[in-house]
Amino acid sequence: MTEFFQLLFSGVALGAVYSLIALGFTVIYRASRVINFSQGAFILVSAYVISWLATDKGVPFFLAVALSIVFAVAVGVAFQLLVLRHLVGRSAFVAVMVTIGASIAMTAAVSAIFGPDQKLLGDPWGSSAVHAAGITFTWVKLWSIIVVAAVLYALYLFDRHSRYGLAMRATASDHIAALAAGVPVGRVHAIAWGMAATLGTIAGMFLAGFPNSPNLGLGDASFRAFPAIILGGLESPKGAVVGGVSIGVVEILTSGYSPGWAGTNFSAVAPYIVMIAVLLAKPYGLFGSVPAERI
Amino acid sequence: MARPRPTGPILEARDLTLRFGEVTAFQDVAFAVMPGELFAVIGPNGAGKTSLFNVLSRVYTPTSGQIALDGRDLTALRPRDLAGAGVARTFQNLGLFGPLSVLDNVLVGRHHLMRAGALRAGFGLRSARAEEREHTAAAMAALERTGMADVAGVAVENLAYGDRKRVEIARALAMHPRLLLLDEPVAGMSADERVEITELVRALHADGDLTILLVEHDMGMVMRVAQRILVLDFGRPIAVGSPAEIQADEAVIRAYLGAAPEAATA
Repeated sequence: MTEFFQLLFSGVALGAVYSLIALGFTVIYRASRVINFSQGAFILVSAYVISWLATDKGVPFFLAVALSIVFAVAVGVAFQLLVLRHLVGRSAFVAVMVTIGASIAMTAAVSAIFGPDQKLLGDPWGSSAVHAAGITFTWVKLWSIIVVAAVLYALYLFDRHSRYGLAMRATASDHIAALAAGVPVGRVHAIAWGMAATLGTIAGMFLAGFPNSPNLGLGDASFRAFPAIILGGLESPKGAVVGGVSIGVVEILTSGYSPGWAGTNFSAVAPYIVMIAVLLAKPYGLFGSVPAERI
Repeated sequence: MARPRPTGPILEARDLTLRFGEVTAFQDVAFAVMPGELFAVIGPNGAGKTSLFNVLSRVYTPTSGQIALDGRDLTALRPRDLAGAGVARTFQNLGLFGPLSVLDNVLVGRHHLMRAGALRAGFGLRSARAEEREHTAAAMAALERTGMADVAGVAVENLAYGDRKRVEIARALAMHPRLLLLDEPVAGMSADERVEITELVRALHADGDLTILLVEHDMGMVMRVAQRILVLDFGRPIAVGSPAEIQADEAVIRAYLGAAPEAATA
């Protein structure tokens, strides 16, 4: 039973980070109907920027994180304003291809600048942990759960209680009507990209923590979080969180309990099996809205 | 709320033409809407009404000609600037946010009037709370005017079509426009809903200094509410005048009313 709870704790911590990544997808998809395949690149770039500032430049860790968020937001907003804005009215596929291109370019840039070797994150937690009831709670995982909960609450307040949160929900529902009602839709898109970049940075910080480290494969987490958004429903922030935590728990529990005949990487496949099973029953995800059709 | 009323037209079109390649949507359209007026544009299907509305609401840019709002070039404004310039619109097929509550739908129309980043007191700021009260009160006042205040908390997607139109009109009112553009407000409605919305538009206009430009297919509605009417036929203006003048106009009868004008005015 101890092993189960140990795995469950790790699963929830990983799932919390998946929730952030999934929310990054959801925020942009709701605002502009674009699935942002560069979300993983933001995670990667941010982890390396934090590492560079905190270990090479001697910047205090949390200041490094803050600066990295500023950098990621600048890149995300610039990407929206300089590139994606000009694709309005084209098929969503064009924008998706552009985000894939941006992802490849950003990953290559990280590889060229920082080299292929693993880095140190420079975080204050390292492998430190508290032990209770036979379970090891690493600080990086505890903090990931706490910080994600705080971020989710802040996003909730923004969504429900701010002028731009309302504008974002309106834009998600009908951007032409929002424009006619005086909502600066371009600014809403830019804010969405800034939020997604912030979420990506925080996710990158925790993903690169113990026992991991900043490495070139870090961005792949966005593909592992992908079943989470499909599971939850692309448009639903609630779905992103429920989907993220579920997928994290499924992945870790499978890695702990998967039988030998299933192969060593079965845990990477299990989330997709869960996703397919859910889609068979609910084709638009757990919290997705079924499109209304005129009959 | 008394505003000094400018003497010139609030909206003036001169030699307005819109072409899509070889296809002419409308040409040589000229009219002036005076402050406080309820001006209607009518015409048979395909006359260019919707294209004209889309030019006025900055969806399309005219091929040639001028269009001035308060004497300034309307085409220099971006679509989202229209709200700040005092122009609000409704959509032929409703432009509402289905999953949002009626109140939130109307509050979106206040976006361009909001100052603080925080609409509600999420962060406990007193000024934000005061501003929230102000905007909520304005939104509720607009909903009172269209008779939708008692369903403020209901999601719009759960309302009947006619009630949704009332919410959409309330949002336009909450924007505090000087010029309200209505795109076929009774299209697709039942006979009862048509009567109710017609009465609502008439009452809103009677209330005060709102200028309304209405594009409509339904002759009965237009004749009941409009002060002056522009008639388009195959993209060309064929008459401008009061409802009585339009009903007596030979060209209009030929083009639009056919052989049975009394049926169309019923």
